[in-house]
Amino acid sequence: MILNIGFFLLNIIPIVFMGFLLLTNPLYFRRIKQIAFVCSLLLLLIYLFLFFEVNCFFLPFQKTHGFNLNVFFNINYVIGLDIINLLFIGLTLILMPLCILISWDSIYFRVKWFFFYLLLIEFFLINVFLSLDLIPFYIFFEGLLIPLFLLIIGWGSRERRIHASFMLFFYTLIGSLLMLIAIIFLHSTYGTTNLYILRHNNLSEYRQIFLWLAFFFSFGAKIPMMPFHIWLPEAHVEAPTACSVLLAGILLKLGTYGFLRFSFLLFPKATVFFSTNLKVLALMAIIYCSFVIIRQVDIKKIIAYSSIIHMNFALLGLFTFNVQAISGSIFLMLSHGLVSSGLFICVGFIYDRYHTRLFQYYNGLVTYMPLYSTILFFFFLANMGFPGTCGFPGEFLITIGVFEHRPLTIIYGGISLIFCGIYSIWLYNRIVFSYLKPYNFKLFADLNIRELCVIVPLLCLLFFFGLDTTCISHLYDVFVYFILVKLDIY
Amino acid sequence: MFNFFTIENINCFILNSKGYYMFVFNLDFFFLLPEIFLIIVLLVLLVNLLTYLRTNYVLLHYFLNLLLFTLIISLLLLLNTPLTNIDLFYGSINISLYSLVTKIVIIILSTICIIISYNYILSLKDIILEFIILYILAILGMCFLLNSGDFIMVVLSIELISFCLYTLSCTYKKSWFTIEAGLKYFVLGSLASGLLAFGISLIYCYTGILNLTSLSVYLLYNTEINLCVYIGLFLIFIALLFKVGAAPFHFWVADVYEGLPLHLTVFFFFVPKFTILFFIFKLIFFVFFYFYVDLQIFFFFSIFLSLFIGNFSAILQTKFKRLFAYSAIGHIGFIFTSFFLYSLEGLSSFFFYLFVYFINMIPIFIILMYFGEKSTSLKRNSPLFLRSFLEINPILVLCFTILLLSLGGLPPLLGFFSKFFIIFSTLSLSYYLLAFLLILVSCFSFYYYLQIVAFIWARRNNTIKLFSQELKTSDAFFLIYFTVFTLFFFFFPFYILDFIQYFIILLFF
Repeated sequence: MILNIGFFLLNIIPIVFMGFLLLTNPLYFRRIKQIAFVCSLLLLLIYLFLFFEVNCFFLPFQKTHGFNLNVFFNINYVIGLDIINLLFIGLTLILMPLCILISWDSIYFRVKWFFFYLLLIEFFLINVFLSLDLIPFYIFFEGLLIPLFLLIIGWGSRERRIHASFMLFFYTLIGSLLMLIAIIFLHSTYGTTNLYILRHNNLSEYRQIFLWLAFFFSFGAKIPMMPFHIWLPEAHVEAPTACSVLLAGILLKLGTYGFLRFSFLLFPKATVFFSTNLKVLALMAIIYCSFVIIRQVDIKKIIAYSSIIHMNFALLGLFTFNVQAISGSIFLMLSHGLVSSGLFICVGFIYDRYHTRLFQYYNGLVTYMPLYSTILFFFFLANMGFPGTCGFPGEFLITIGVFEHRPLTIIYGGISLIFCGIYSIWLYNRIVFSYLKPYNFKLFADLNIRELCVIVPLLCLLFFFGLDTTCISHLYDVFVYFILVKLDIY
Repeated sequence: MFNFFTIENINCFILNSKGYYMFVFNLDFFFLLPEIFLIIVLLVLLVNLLTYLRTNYVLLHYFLNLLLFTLIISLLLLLNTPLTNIDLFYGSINISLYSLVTKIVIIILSTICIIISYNYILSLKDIILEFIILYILAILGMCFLLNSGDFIMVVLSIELISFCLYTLSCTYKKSWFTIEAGLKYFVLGSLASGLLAFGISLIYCYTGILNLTSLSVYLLYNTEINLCVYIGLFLIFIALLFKVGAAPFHFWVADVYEGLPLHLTVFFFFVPKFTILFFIFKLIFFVFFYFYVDLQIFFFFSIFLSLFIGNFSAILQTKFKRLFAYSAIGHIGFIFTSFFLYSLEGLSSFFFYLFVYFINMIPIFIILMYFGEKSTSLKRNSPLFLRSFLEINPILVLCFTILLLSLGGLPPLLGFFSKFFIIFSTLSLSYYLLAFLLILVSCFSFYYYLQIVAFIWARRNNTIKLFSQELKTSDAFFLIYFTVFTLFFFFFPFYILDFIQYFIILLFF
């Protein structure tokens, strides 16, 4: 009963509040922000009620709900809840109020539309994670591009943003159009796109390989994998802070989530077939980006490349087919959602003050922003995977799992761990320590109450998941076993 | 409403009043009441216009209302026509479910086109009143084309439509573009009409049949068909492709649409094109179904060229009208794809695509009319126009954005589903290459729609307030209604698609 009402509310509240936003006067900035903030808090509250209702040891979907859209083409809208999409929805709903809070002062023009698009992204993300049918999944997956494109175009910082947003749009679009072909092919052979019926398919390995490749282009462009990764640093640099938090925090996880939910379940043979190739691609991305990152001057670009490395590390774990590696990679996805968004928020704070992202301009921030420097230090530690922070368990588990599987692989993969430490400490040193520069004296103030409200919850979560490592991982253990059984590993 | 008068009721009516052996055509005139009504209004209008002064612009309002009123009355008469399949006037006119529904669609389309261009026509200063007569004549010709059961009727009604359109395209004499458009359309259009007549005469020469039903029976049961019949067939389809504006015969489209004033562009964009498409549908599925393999090859050629030429040329255009003209060629490629599949899914996606195209393009024309007369030469990337519109009328700009993205085919908007169903039907018949082509081309079509969106939403430092006139109520109604429909289509069951599928099942089973 609570799940039923929760489903309904999760879908209806963003729509109702978007209607409120459209009806408010565009000049009442404060009221617009309040409406958006209340909406996101309300959704978080509902989510907490939902969270304790779900039984994580019960493997099929806890609650499914659907209705038919067209009989002739057999198109259905089916949504369902299980532990994996519950966790990712949780990540979305935690990050969204923070996104609204960080754009509270930094967005000063077209305020109404900005918050309208943020709520639209939230609505689409909830539905992407909830949908169990491939066609609604595709629709929301690609529909996310509209608000994202408009956010980068409308509120980006430089002229380059047009180029960046077009790159973001077309890289994602071309991949997902290939996925559309695969979805329609599945529909025309089986007559349905419901995931729970399709997972019992009897596709031959030859067909599975082609369909898997079509799905791969779409998810691989989202993660982003090695040949399709160019759009990510560009889009991150040009996007407003809230948008890049959402990009790094949730949208990159859509790719790995897609592999976990769709590719693994529908095409197990092809997944095993391609696992080596995918691991090689992931290693290539890790090593290449580790070297690229040293030569960057833009702080946002450095964090963007570091999130490419982390996501590819998660992918490496995902395709190792170990209990340790897969559960570690799910942990890494969630923790990276917290850490990278925290880093982007930190960069946003100093960008709001000095309007530059090049780290050569920042020196000696520690002398007059001690609070900020301390918090930034913890986030960089988590980015390195320091024990005690939430970055550690995921990377540790993946390392163990991959080592058990192929010891040589982790030697290449370990490059990322080393380089991550190098660039994190190096960047932190350049920003925070050394001599003060006269440029910085123009305006200096430590974090105010609003900014602390944004960053402290993230910091608490960072330590909570780092110290109590089993609090999440015991929720999805059964799911991981289920995945491995599906892949015929055990 | 269709079954209000059944055929038995009418027979009874005739028996009771005048006896059974009255005129042979007594029944026939009953079926043609809407067309007869249009003709009567036409005569009245002609007499009226003779008595009034031509330059009396006060009358424009009155005549436009009269035009709308006439169309609505003829729509009501159409809805009251009995639903039968019957040959009239010795087979030269054939009334069926298909012709009735398509006529209703055409009259509704033309009514909406006139309603949305109402205020624009009033704002044009030097316009001659006779264009109303030409409108009615063209709609009359379209009704007869969809009724036609005979090649003579086809030629006559297509000529009637074409002459009205040639004349209409020259009515607004202010711009050089208009004169060019009229001349080009006349010369090329008459060439196409000549091809049509030549094709028909070739078929008549080698079969001796003009009636469409008899021809279909003849082609089905005759084993040896002369090559000249094939040539005649392809000449007919070339002429029809020309009238639609499909790719190898598309050269007039952009110039003509650019030259016309906007109220005529809307009319040309939908009404004659949809009529000819419905007529091609009729020819393929009710007359020439024997030749479906040959026609498939022919149409594949046209589809390929339309998709590529339309979408690639649209990328390079700088004016809105030319952009939408070329994108229309691309859309024609999609429409013909659904034809050429010869499957139930394909046909339902054909009607759905037409519906969606209309729903999306009408508000775009409303917005272009709101921009005003300058939009004839409106530069797509003009910083003055688009970039300052977000502050003047943000809702309008949001609608524009939604509609452009929908035309490109981005989910969850309406335009995605029309393309989705076409790709769906291609893949379910395992035409993999064609599906890949359609998807590739729709990627390119995204590029030029997105450029407009990017120019609208990109932030700028200095804004210029151009004008802040209000949108008229009727325009705003259509704009908001169609946009909301585009936006929220996915969240409800697809009732309109159910209706279309029911219609197709009725048509063929």
